[in-house]
Amino acid sequence: MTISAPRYGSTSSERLGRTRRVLAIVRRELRRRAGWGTVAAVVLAFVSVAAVVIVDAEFASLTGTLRLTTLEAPFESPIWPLLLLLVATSAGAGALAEDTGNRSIVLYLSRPIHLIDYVGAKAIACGTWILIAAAGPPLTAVLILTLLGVVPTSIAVSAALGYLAVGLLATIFLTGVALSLSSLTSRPLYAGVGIFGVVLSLFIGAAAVAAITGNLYVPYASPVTLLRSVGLGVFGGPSTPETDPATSAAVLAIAGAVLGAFAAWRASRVEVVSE
Amino acid sequence: MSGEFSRLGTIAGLSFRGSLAGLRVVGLSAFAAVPSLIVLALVSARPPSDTLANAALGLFPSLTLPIVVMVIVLVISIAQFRNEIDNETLVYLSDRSVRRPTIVVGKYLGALGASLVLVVPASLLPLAIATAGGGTPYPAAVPAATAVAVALAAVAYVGFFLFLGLVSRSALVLGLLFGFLWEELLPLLPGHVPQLTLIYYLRSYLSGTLTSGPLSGYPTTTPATAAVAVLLAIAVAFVLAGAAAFRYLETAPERTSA
Amino acid sequence: MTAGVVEAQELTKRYGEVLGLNRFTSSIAGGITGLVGPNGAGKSTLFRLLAGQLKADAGTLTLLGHPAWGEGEFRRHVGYCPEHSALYEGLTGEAFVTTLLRVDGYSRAEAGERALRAIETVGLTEARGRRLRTYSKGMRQRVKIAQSIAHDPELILLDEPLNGVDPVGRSTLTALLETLQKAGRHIVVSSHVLYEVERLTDQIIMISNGRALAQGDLHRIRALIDAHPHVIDLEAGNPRTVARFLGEWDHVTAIEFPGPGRLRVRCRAPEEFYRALPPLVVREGLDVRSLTSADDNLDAVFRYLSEGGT
Repeated sequence: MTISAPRYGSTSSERLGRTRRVLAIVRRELRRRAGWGTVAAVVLAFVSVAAVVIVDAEFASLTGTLRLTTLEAPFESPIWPLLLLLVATSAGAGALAEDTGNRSIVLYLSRPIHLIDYVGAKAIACGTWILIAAAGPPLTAVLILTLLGVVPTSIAVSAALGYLAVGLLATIFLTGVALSLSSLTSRPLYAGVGIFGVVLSLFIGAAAVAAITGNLYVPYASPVTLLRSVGLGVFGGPSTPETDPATSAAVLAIAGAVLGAFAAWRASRVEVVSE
Repeated sequence: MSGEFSRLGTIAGLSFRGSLAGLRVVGLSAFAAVPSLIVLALVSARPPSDTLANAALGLFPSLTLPIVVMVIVLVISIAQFRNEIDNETLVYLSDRSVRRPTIVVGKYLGALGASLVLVVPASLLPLAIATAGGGTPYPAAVPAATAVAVALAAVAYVGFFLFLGLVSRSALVLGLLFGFLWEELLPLLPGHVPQLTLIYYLRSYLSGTLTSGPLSGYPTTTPATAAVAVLLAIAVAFVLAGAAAFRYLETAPERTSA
Repeated sequence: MTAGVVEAQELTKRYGEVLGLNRFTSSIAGGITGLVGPNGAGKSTLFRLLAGQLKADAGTLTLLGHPAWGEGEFRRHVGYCPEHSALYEGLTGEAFVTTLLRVDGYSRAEAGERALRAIETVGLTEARGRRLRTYSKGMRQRVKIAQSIAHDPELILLDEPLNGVDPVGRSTLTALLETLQKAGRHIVVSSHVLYEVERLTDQIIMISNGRALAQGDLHRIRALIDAHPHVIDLEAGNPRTVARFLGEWDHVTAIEFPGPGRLRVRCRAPEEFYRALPPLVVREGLDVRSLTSADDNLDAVFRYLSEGGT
């Protein structure tokens, strides 16, 4: 038996900071989440939602009735929440589930990063896609209308801020839903179907119960109704929100944060069994 | 050696047990219970008998059929091939001496059985709860028609989603697009466009079978028998398409190592 | 010249721009044939093509005279043990093997009987009633082998069957393959560890970068490998106790402890090491849980061969 003396050498190199490491995950996740389903849903959102805003505004402009309320059209349409759900599903269902399923979560968490960095990076990547689909189409429509001189700048700026605010709220909530359901399973299929099923069931169920019982608090259980109320509240439209816009915004923000925290907790408890 | 029917039964049994195993069945059962829970909430508000009965029945076309049944069938059916291809367990069946169409039909029957176990109670329990909770009793034709409608929905959707899970790696997104955009939005369009959806034929069946209540009165030109025939034909067409596709498809997962 | 049990002619398989197999040509005769190559060489691609999971982009591949792609009754005569360890997790070991035999067309009674026999052959009788999700890696390998031999096939395809199996299990499985060969079965077994295959057969096919580098007698290649120290990783309950025994062997040149419960052994005569370890484990009651062999030295030989050193 032979013993050879070890050879020592210095291989130290400068490590990047925490923010740069998180950004590295975000960049990778942004590309990874950009499947054809996500891109198709975003394109569909741009085409359908922007078209609705532009047509409504053009018509109101011709009849001289253009107000800020005219631009609330996306929140009146059932297509906007449906497409957001689709983007959340496509971009978020696999966010944690895929990594658990293929065990790459171990590779991530074995690096010198915090769990919160990992989950946060996933949330930022998924949220970016949702935000693009939520706020991008109406913002683009308003920009086009402003450039065409259809919408005055003052109204355009207010509308843009409104779209951004509602879009951010939708992003916080849907990212929370997507990550929390994705953390419950190792199969993106189940998480994806869960996102759709839970949100739509709450929407229809709350509507049915509220209609029969007349209980004013039941609609607060429906995220779609809450988003609609916030949108109508921000734009001050003719339609009456079913729920109080400020309370709705608070419920969505808190629910999104709680669900995000739940996802982080779940990720911290993941046991990856190799076989 | 036993015959092809025996092999079919074995594969169907394997798919059935696999579909209703583990945490998945807990999640799906919880989802199937959503309409019942809503009706329980309605019952607790003690509305008038007619209102309660109509509200419980009204959930069927608005929640049970388009969302609960859709989601359950989607999950069970897509998983049949997609999960097995991704896991590489499909090779245990495909490298046997069984014919590939037998595998497709066996998986279809297994998925259909598992779906029915969940969706039929999901459609009937809310009605039973409403009646027990003081709602006006339904004529026997109503629960019978709803049960047949969800069974027909399962027959057709399982065929379609099974095919989707076999041929596409993006089956989930395609399935959701179909289930919640195609099936929800096309019926809102005028003319013959709604006839391109399966939900049109399901509602045509209900409308042709029931003469009163929330499930009747759907504007359709298709008689109930024709609607049933179309749904069955669609199921058969997709199972045949799946059987044909399986003969020519590679079944190794996407990121196969050399 | 008679046709082999497996015939590959100019077989090519691409994954996008990556070549899985590159004009692979080989004829596998009866008996046990070892398919050896480093990770990513194309072994699993060849097995997937043989199992009908993949379709070749070019060339031909036949098993027992039948095209490998597609279905057919000839598959009744073929058993396949895949490399991956995915199973129908909700089934018990016995139900798993029985179900697959039923799919093969056996009656309930005969399938049950054959399943029990195959399970007993691989030493899983006690665990046959447990669900597969509770099986260890070694038990999974064994139940996969059980399903591949339960229908008494003429040709058995085993993709890395010894991966993750403990030393005693390796010895048992090796003996099983020898028994099957004596019973007239043809076996194609892959491994990235040349010495594992060497214990089973002299007939090997060396594969690298999707090509058959060499086929035939192993002895010449073995001489090349002996020039490189062989690295073997072990997992053990008490690695230092195991190391004390291994350190007494002349062919062991170094022992390292890369982590808790692990030791890495470098030796000059791996075949001697593999032969001597199981008796030592049994005799001394050592808690050796797994045995894996890094393929660095094999890579070196493959590099040598692929650079024209032959």
